[in-house]
Amino acid sequence: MRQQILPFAFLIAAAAPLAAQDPSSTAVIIDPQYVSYTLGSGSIARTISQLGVPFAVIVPFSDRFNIDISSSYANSQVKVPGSATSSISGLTDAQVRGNLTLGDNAAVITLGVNLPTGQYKVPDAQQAAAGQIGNDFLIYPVTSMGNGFATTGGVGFAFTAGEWNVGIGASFRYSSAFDAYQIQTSVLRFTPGNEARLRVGLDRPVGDGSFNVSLTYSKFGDDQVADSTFGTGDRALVQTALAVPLSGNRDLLLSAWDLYRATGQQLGGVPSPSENVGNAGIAMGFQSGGLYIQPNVEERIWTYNGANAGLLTNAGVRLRFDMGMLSVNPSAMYSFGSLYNPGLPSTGVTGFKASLLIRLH
Amino acid sequence: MRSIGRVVLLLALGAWALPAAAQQKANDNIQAKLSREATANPSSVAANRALGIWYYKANRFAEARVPLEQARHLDPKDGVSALYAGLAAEQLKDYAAAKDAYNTYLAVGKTKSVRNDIRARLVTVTKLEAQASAKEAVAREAQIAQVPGSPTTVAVLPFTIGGNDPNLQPLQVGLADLVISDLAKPKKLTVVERDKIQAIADEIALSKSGQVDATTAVRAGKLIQAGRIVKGSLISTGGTNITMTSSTVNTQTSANVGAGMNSNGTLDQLFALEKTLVFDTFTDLGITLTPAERQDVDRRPTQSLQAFLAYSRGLMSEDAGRLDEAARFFDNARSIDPGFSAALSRAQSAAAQSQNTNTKIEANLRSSSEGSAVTAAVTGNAAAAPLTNTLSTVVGDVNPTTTNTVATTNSTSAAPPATRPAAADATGTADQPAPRTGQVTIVIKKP
Repeated sequence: MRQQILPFAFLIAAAAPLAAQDPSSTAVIIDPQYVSYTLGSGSIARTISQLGVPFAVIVPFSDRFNIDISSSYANSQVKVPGSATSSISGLTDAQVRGNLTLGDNAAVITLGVNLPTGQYKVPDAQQAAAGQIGNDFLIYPVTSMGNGFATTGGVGFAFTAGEWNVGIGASFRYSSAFDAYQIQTSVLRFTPGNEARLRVGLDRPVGDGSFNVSLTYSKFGDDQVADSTFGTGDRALVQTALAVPLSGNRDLLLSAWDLYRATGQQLGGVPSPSENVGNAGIAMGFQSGGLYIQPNVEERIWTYNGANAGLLTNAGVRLRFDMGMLSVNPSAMYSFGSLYNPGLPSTGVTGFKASLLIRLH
Repeated sequence: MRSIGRVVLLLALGAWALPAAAQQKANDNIQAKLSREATANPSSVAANRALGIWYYKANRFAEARVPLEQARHLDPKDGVSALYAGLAAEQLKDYAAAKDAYNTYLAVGKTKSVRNDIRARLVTVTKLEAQASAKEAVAREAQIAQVPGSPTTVAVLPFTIGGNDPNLQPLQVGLADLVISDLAKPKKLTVVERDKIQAIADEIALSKSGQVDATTAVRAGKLIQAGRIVKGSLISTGGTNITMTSSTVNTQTSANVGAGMNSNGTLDQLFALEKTLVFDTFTDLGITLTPAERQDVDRRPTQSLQAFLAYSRGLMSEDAGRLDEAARFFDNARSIDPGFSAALSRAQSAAAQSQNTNTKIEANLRSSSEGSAVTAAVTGNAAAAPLTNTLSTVVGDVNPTTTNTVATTNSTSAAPPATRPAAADATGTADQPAPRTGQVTIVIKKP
């Protein structure tokens, strides 16, 4: 435990002198979350749960330059009746990112490094827990325990076009090799493909509210294991949201996103079919005294290789209130739905999530 | 886990333990930072606006106006700068500047609820301006009296109400309001707004017990710089019988202009008598109306005496600053005569004014998309502008980190995965909640 806390302490210590630049503007965010999904029931039930504690420190050095440092603690488990529980816990990688704004919010240069402070050489018994949290449909707060050292450089531009704000950005992520898994006595040394991202987005005020839509496209180079190269498929993400204040201190949020992964190959030349996850949600918030309450519901659809693979309904409530310099945001959500496999009966899914986001600013 | 809990606890205790002195120092730091930013970037709208808003929030209104006016000069379409320039000017009792700034916001501001607030605010500011002008006019009376008012500038004084029916007292302002509205219709005269007349009347105690003496009436006309004043009276002569009189007076000579009007009738004929008064006044002023203008002037806002009496009571309450009561009277007038559009607009205006405060305006602004500019000032982030959010989102999308994940949690719907879990993707373990069939062969060469 002490070893796991040490990197965390290092990050806080590193942030302290930065914060001294302008303590009034530094923000510290911590967001403990517990998520658990049970797939199927009875003797074939599989429960994948995670306690994730993402945290971040954001330090504005000046009006134009800020640095943020972030990481997570995660404890993930996969339980199947009659089998040993696969479990992995510890700190994940840490990210340090600097953003420099140019002009009057005209452009930004962003540089970041992914420090390999996470879990590597994952042994057999922990691989299920380390891998299944990366599922794009049952989104977990921490999706990977380690991705290896990587650097990302990017640039973004923003400008107005009539009533619209246009935001365009591009980045390149250079990844280096890391020891992903321990397989018996061997180590699987894995080099993720480099990634180029392009993002185009629009936003504008709508009445007293706002609307935004964006497309992010990620093109990946080939992953590499020993002499074997393969690519798991490029990704495209479309996101949109409409926020509308209503009368009586109420507001309405409509949001949707769609993540598409193109066909590719996995390790060993195994085909990796395309998949698509679409999500649409509606939330109605209202202020009651010092408490903001936002019931919400959303629907998520997963298709895999062109076939329906999953349907999930999430219903919950988010709260927000201030305590001194703390903004406290508890939330809870219940999920139910089904997973589908062609030719097989559907598998029921139930789950819940609870989180307590605390922001100090 | 216990250690993380301790860290959270320490953060919470630290927040509560921050002394007020630290907060003051933080505020000073923000002000110094915003000042530096504005000095270093004198042509930056965002920097000037942020500094001006900060000064406003620190109740340093005179200092706030300088950067805010600079921001308005740099970008005449920046509604937030105009709004805060108006708020600061209002605090300094520079009502003309406040109205100018508020009207700019009405033209270029993006937040509908704030525009509605500002429309109500403008009514209040206009009254405050009239009161301030009245005080100033009385202070400079000797000087003003030397300047003759234009013969086409007409002020209608509150009516004198006589007789024993106290229910008719509200007509002193109701009839004046109606006559002002009718005289202004052909747009051939400059008719002084009732607010200005009321402000002068209050300042010089024009109407005591519903009576206006001739000397004081002329004095009021001179102070308003009207060339002509219209004095009306309504006398209840028993039962429903009434007598309506009027005279138009030259404020420079104190002599009557024209023959005036003196007619008898009953309360049922009140509106007909008022139209006679208006047409006679036009004749006295030498104004010839076209048939279309006559038809326009002859149009009656209501046919209901009871609705008009309720409307008049509303005007009296409004003049006395009892806006909630005024709104109820106007509502009553509208319920008696649903077609009484002036009552409806007055009811809405009075209700809006009664709830309208600068705090409410600011609250509405902060909850809108324009609120980021205010947040920028409060947090000392001078460079922040509406494009801040756009750029921030771009960074989050092209270079995502855990910071983005926690920063957006609880503010939007469940966010999609921002990054690829590379190793899980490569081995297919991320797909396993819905297992696929397939065979994985891993070949690892010995080093």
